[in-house]
Amino acid sequence: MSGKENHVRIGIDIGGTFTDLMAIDLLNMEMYETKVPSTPQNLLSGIKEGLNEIMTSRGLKGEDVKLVVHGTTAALNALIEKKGAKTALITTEGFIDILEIGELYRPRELLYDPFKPKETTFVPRRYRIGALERVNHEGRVIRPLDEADLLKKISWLDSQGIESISICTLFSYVNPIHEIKIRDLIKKNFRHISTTLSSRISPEMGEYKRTCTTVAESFIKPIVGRYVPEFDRSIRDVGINSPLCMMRGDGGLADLQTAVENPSTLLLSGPVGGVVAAAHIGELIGRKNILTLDIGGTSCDTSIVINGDAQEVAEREAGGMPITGPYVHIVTIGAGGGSIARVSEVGELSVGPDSAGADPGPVCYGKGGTEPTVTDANLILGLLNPDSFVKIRLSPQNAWTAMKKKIAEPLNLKIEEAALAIRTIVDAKLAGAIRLVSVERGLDPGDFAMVAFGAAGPMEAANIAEELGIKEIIIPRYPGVFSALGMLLSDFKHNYLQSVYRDFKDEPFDELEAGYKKMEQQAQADLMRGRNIREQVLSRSLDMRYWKQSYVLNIPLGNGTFDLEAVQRAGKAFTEKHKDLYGFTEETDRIKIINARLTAVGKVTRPVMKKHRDIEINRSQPDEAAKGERKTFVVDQKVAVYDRDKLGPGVYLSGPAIVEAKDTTIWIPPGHGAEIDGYENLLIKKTKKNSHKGTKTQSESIG
Amino acid sequence: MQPFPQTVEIIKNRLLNIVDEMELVTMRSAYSILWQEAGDLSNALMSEDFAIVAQAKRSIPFHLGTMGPPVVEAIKVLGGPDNLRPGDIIIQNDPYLANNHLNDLVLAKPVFAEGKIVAYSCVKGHLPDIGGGVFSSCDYMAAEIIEEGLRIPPTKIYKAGQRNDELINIIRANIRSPEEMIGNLEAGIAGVMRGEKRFQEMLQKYDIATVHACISQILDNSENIMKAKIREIPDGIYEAEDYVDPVEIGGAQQAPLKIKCTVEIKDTKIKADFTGTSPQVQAGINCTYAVAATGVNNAVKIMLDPGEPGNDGTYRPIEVCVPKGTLINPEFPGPVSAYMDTGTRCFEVVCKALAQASSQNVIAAGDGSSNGLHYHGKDGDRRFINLEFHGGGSGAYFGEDGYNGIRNGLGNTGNQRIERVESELPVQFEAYEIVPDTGGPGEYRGGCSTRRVYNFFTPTEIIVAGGRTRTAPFGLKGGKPGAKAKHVLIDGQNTEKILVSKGSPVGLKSNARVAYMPAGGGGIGDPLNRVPDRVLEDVKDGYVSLGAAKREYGVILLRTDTGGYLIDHDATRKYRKTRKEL
Repeated sequence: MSGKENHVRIGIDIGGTFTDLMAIDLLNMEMYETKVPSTPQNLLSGIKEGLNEIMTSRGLKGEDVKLVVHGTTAALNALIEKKGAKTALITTEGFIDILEIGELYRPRELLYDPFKPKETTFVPRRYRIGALERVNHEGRVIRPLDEADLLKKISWLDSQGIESISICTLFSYVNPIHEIKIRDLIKKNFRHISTTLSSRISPEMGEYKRTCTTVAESFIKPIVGRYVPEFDRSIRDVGINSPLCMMRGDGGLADLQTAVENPSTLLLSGPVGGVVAAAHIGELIGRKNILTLDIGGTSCDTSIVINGDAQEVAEREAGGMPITGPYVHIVTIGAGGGSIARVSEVGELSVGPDSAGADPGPVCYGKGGTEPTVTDANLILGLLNPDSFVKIRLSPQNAWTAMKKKIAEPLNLKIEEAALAIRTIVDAKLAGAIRLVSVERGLDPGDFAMVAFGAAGPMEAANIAEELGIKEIIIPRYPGVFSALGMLLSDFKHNYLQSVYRDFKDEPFDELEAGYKKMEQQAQADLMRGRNIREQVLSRSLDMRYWKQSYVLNIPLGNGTFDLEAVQRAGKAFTEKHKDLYGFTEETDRIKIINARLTAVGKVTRPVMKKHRDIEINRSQPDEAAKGERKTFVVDQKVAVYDRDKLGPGVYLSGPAIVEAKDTTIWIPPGHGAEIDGYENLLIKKTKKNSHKGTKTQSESIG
Repeated sequence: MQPFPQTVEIIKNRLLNIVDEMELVTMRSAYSILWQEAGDLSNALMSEDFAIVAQAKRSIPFHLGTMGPPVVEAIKVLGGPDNLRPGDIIIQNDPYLANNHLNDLVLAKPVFAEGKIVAYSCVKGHLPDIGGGVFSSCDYMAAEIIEEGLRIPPTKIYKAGQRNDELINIIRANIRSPEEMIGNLEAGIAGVMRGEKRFQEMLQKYDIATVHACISQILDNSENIMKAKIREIPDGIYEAEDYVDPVEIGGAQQAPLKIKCTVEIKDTKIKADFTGTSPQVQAGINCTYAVAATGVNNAVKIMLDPGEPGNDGTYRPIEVCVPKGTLINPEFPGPVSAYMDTGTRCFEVVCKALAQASSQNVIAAGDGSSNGLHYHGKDGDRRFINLEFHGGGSGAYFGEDGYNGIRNGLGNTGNQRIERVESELPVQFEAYEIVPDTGGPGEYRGGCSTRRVYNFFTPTEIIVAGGRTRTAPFGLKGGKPGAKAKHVLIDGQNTEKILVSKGSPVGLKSNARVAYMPAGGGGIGDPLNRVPDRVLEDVKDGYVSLGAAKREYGVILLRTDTGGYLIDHDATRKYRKTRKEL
């Protein structure tokens, strides 16, 4: 590299199968990507290998790296695999079983299948301890905490080797005094036990969800507490001394201290990067409404960006429990390249939700898989090149044999027909799930552009877009490491919440305003720990609902002081949003405010993506990128194949075409064209209208 | 026309997506906690020839067989499909037109394409009140249905897109908490409208003939799966009976009411015949034929083909015969408002009968009731009504214990958050916890029940609407029954007085305390064969007491110096041996 001092930022996304790295040099905006295998036993083991690879191949020194951002599946894994701290729970006496009783109804999975194997609980009943205390709904202490009694009980927990205690007493979101006293008692007498307070991490009404969130947090706290310093060490070991950040489930960054103190915010750490990156790319090229499609081997993550903003949900499910957030609204569907196709005893053909995973993987991997998968179908159809995977050569022979025996013969179809049927089903299934993500917000997916990434996203994107009426697909330059890129584009973010629970027009508003002021002070302090912050943005919002409802709508307040006028504006916005979503409003305006929320964003100086200026779309075929032609079973004509690395800005391809990249294959159907834009995205657009409706032909989709 | 297998699968998934979206819209916009959090509603799509082809995943089993038939009956009353127009929405709630009880409103919107009806979008939900002599319209003492509330005959609540405000005014004028109830009605309407809209969108991609052929195929596939499952069971006749708590009329104790079922399995067909069941009673605990059939269908489904919810094709191989004039097929005007436990017992009796056909595929009885506690009173000037439903234990099944604290049977409404109830109503809770030793002992233990203790600050009227206080949920294959339900009033000296279930509303003075405990689940297999380690773990967790470990399971535990427990294996072996020889 040149003698000038480099300024490199590196994003690292550790998933269950691969660790993805993306480095950007801010001097020249060159990007470097790499992928190394993750080992589930020690997720961090691949980091050094990946960093060394990037640094040697690009001739970088440790001091060239100015920032490292990290997203990880470690927190989620600990919860899902139930490998966390030995955890106890202290609640109000008489209410220790709230965690187990839950919401009482049989969950969907159990409703028509009472024989399902049971999941183990995070806190066995013997470690659920009742504190003699009670606070009422107004926050008044109606039974003072009996500390002597509790001390005895905690001593017993200590003797049992408890590492972590969740504290969640009734109405602590109104008055946390007893939770604080309990924490102090533990801190004073049992310094080695970590504590988590529900009033700190989830100060809102609803004892079950608050308990779950607290328990999840204390369960993963020691895991994250060990993981983050280890991550720190791994980075230092390769000679990098830059600041380090963690990616959080709300799409924002946190310094390491904040991350360790709020481990449950790391629960979606990996996949949100892709949503942030998609929003950013959309912003660059003027697409404000985006659906994201991230398809991997076992599942598909989808999300929605509205008006440039990733959408949030107040809670999500993880490890069988509701965990309060906020989190970026990502919906995971059990369908991916490894999804298994089956024919039932009565001749129904279905795909997924079970997956061949990475091991044994699809039949064509030749690692012992026997059930045909979506990847096998794509290989048979000629859409995938047997050499398209870096580390293994795919075996078409294996795929054909399995497809014939398991699907084609039972259904009396030709092998290619069977493969096409599987592809069609999985695409429609994904489209259906994605449709729900937009329509549940009252939006039409046809008004969105789709950003497709992950190993299998670009292969299926065009079909799914067609199904949803989406007119444009954006395949970013590096779809395989897109989440790692997103981590380099994220801002620092902190969320605050205060329970309110009052009628919306009840004056005075002083208390609410004071609450906001307090949250804002905390936000300023928290943002101080961030890096590269160029601008702070604090946004207030209210969770509102009609007096008798349960589900709240979050209404932004805009800036300025909280007064009657602001409230009336919010009330009006609520009414309009309710009408949009549900088609009706209440004639009276008995609206309740449930929570006051504050979001504090510390906007970072983002890398400015390099743009190739004044490109002209060259309508001639890009010969230098051509890799020849291939017969497929999805269209009658031969399909031209191109090398993604040789397609420069301005190139235009007409469908049908296949573009092969290092870690993905892009399918451009007939009637579609694709161009490479100034940011090197590949944009697929429809050029012809559908000529007919109906499904009278076997190949009902466009491929 | 034979559709392609992938098209069938795609249409099936699409229909399921539509009903799930309908459910989301209905639940989120609803006004009653019962709808929003407890999900006491169901959303479905029905074919043009009146078969439910997709039902939302959380739909409660009670609504399985009481969703389609009321729509069919309503259309008949309205003069057939030819009298329906685009933009119409039908409403009805009449148990004598195949509904379950008056509280459950059925809404249906025909989906028109090319001038013809191609499907119906349906929502059903339980209103906390539909008028009548008793708040919550759960009137055990009613002598006839007229006393139970507002009976809405099949009517168009929307006519060609125009809202029928006269009808809404009639409803409003006849029920308690009208704003809340009308809010729910609006939510239900939002649900059927969404279903219709999405079905129309599907027709933009798939022509009517294809959709119709796929729906037929989906129903046929489900039917064929069920037939194959029935064929696996040995042909034969399996009988079972169980009992429903009666309503105490005039202070005299009544005998429990019998539900008897003879299940005949022949090749690919199942016939459930309820001859021998008690005659109908002049109290609100009769259930209609549609409910009894729902009980049978659900039992057969979960026992033979557990997994995803079924559709009407699943139930075609099942025939249900119920003599007229019985507790489970009453003649008009028999009252039915509190039908839930009776309906659940039909389900349990079929599970019990089917258990005889298999050594492994067995499930013991759960708490067997909807375990309602309805209360109303005044908070200052404001009048309030709340209905809470509780859960006890579920029955064990072969290989696994039952769940502690869960809903059972045909109902599936959830609980209400303590912090929300206390914030909105003059009520404070003293406990909500699992009760030890309430799960039926067995090699696999029944689930333990829960206990919720209320303190009503103001004078309040309550209805205890729970069953299984007289007969316990059965165990199977040597397993013991679960504990009976027990509901008590606790006075200042902490003495408990039994609250009689299924009676008239009871007036309570201010600061009255009530403890509500449903029944525990039944066990499976001889408790003396339970692995001693599992008994030890149960004692450590407080699901089973030290005394019960010995008494019920024959396991001798020793206390350690540190307050822990150890199994005395020798003593346990000897003690179990002598117990078995008895």
